[in-house]
Amino acid sequence: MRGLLDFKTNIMSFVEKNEYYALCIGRFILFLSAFLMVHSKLCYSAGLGNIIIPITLSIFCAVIPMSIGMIVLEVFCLLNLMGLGLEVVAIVAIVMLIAHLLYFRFAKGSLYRSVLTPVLAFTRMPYIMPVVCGLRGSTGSIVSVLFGMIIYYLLAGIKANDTVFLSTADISSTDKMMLIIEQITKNKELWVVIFAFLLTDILVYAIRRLSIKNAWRTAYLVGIAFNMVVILSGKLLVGESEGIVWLLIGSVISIGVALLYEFFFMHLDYTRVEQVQFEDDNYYYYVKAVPKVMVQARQKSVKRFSQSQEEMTDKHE
Amino acid sequence: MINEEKVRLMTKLAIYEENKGKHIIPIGNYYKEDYVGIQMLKSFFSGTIAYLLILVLMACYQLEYLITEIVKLDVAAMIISIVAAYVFFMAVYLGITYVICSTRYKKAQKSLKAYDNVLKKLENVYQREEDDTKPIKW
Repeated sequence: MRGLLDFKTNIMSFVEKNEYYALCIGRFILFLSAFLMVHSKLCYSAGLGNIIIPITLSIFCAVIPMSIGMIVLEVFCLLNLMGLGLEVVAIVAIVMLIAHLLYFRFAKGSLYRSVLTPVLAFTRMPYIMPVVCGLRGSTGSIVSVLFGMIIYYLLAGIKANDTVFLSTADISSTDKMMLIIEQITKNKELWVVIFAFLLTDILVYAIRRLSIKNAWRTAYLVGIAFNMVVILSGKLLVGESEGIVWLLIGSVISIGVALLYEFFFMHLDYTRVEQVQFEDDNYYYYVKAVPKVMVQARQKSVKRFSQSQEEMTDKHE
Repeated sequence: MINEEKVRLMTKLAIYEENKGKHIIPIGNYYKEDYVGIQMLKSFFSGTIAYLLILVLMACYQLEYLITEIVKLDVAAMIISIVAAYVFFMAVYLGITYVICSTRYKKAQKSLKAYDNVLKKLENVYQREEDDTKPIKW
């Protein structure tokens, strides 16, 4: 445990000392995974097949503001979809534009969640997102995750029907557009997930604010279990049995991620809880203070022995 | 000689202005009504464009039906329902904007109060320095 705490303290102090570089590295990893995801799953344009392009764009996005980085990612995604036809690009662009107009102008701080959610969803692990929002975010931050899920289901639907879009058979533009929009409107699984994520976020947020022991741990364990049960029953209800195994695996992994998250951001020592009471003119205060588990970073001290000292010790012997 | 207290306060202010204050200080330039009003005006335009885009998506989805049934359509009823939906949509969206911006303004005021306190402390330090450098009149 001491080793883990040392590791945490070292990471924290590194991030504090090199805040800008740490932020750039974080953004680079986020954008690299997003660009590579688009490159591997949605690359339908011949000119964008080179792996150098997503890597270069990730480096570029790591040093520019998040909002511009997100627009670069969206444009890259649209250019990749160009091979499927202009109708596909137009509909996806409209959905992205609606998200920007309605929500992203209020929540520039939670843009990264909208990028991270589809990336995690493509790896079948998005179930941690509503839990993280409930633990750290404000009440409305779940909306960014929900927009991320809508974009994911739209892109995943396009990917699943790419043979239809690519076929030379007679498929009219209106049919193509209908097919894309149906990926959102007629996708019952999407609405089940949105409903489950929304409820999970509210539940986690409510529990972690309670004045109980291990509020965070209780919140994410209950949240993950609740999310799994709601999605599972929703899937069975709408007859979508696909992905149930991944739901279970994803939920178990989410517990691991949440444990790690708790260790870094809310590692409390409940054995040293202090209860204090005091008053001022207007109120009487009952305060419960729970200390965080912290260790001082170990200072390495190197002792140097000069040659003369060594000789002296030899003589003594 | 360097005044350590002054440097500490100035660093504190600079860090605030560079990070958190970047978004908060501009809010402090407005009265609540003005700030919320401007944001609601922006929301009115962005909401209207978003609604039009949603209509475009719906039209794309029903394009075939619209083309074949255009003659039989009750245009007046359709326009009334579109306008009613628009009014409802905007009422909800503007309501949410009002709540978000009011809360944001309240939080900004709290944060700016702390910023002002540090500024006042800095002003006091300057005042003290000025007093110390004044020649003493006999």
